[in-house]
Amino acid sequence: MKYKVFFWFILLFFISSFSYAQVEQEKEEVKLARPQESYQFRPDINHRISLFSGYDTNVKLSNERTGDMFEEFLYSFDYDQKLSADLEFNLDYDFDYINYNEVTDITSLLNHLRLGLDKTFSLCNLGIGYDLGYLYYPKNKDGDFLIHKGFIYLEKDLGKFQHKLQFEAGSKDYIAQNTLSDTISTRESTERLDRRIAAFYQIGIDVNPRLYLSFRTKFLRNDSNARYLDFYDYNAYNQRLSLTYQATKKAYLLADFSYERKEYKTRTVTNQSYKQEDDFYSVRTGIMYLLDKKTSISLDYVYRYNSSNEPLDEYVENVISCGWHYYF
Amino acid sequence: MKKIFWFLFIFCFLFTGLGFAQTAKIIKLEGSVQIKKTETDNWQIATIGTYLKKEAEIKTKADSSCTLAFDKQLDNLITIEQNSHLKLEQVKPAELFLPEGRVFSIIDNLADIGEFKIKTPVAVSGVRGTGDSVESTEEGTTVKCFAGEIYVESLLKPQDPILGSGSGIKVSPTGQLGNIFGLSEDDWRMWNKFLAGINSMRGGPTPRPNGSPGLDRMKGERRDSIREDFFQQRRKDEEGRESSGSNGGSPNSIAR
Repeated sequence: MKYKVFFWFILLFFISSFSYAQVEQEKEEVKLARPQESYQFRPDINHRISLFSGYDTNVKLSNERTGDMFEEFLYSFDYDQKLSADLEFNLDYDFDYINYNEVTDITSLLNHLRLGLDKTFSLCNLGIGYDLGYLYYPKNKDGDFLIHKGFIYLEKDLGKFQHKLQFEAGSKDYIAQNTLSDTISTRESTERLDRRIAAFYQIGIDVNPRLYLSFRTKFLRNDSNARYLDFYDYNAYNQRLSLTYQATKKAYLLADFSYERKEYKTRTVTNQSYKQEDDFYSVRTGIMYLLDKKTSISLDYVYRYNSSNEPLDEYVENVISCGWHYYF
Repeated sequence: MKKIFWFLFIFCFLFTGLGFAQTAKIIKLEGSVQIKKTETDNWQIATIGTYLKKEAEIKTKADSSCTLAFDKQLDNLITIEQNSHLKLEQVKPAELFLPEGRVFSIIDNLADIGEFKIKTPVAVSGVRGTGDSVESTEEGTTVKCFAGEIYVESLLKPQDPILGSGSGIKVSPTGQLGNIFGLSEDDWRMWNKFLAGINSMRGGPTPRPNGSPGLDRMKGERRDSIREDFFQQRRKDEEGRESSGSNGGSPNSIAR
């Protein structure tokens, strides 16, 4: 009941804001004695191709530390179309293929589609959308999965500051893998399915014309149908700080610092009775150089460290890669 | 308690900075430019990156100019030329008052700002997704349309013609609308110079070497699934060793 009251309050709030904006607009029309004419909205279409090559010191993300070279191809398509003065439709499609030279089991193709509608109100922007991803392993069919989620967000641009609050709900469907049964060695006849809910708050700041900072805090809950120890059920709390700095007219420095705390609901450490808890740290730095308006190159380094009370899940990973990007 | 927290959080989110939502940003300066942020403020030297709200004023001296952006994508821009004085009466919808001087504007996304008008002491010109210049002097107002369509409203006489691309009109100090005239080569040269400056500011690709945020999350899911698969196998092996009579407990496990 309380949730219904809360929902109707938010809905009435937006309706009243929208109505207020409409009344003001009508007043302006009378004053000018000039009818508002429709405006032809042009879609904004962008394509991008990127090629990467690099080395990963720990492709299996385990304490075995198997290193391998990789090559990656990325194609991105962005389509933005204004449907009316205050409503916009967005479509993003990405195709990503990553090939590992020796650990070929994890060579994969990723298709990602995002659809969204964004409406501008006087107080903020409201958006809803759907995100779909399909991962295919050509040499390891057991790993294929489909991930999809719906999301809703409130976004506000305050000039120097921008902030965003987003809620997500979805699922990760392992289409070629059956879920764990009562032990780690036995499987059910049904596919593994993880249900997810998440919420995040993000704030971005234009510190000066060259420096942009953003901070995001996120909560995520994963609820799997695996029976053994509710093996994949956890709560995760993630904080991330990102910065973009325009060092020269053509060179940008990029950095990301992320920390995630993951607490498993009932999964215990191997052969122990206490629950598994992970602290995951990630640092990424990179430089991007614009060769011209359509072409750029990049150099990227990522350090990841998972500190866990489960020794089998502790790992350190270093990835260095260089990329070439073309926009059209 | 949690529900109250979320309710207050969303309430604050919606109302935060209500008065700050509508701003124009200074993105380029040349020469000597001064700004007044409110009616009661003193004149101060303008700096790039400053956000201006309604009632802000800008003054440019000789050989000086100031470019304002009304949106992040740089779709809607104006350049205030030398020896000009401009007041931002409203930012969104944009209503500017130009008592003296000249302004070039390019409005590629009218929907984003709702409406765009420049008023002078004798006329109002409004754009319909276009590029134009408006000049105000003691001898009246001159409006020139370089792209799209604009309307010109005389404040003193009830006439409001529409100018197409390549034409201009002069409004006398008494509000009398002159004949529509064609633009000269000099006019086009000044417009092209303004456009070149705008295009150089609009620049090239934004730095996002690893794709959209949505794609980044998908790649994170890929890494997670790889890690889980290999972990599950190792755990299965470890539990198998334990159940077949190894010493209890992993020697390196840590209790937290």
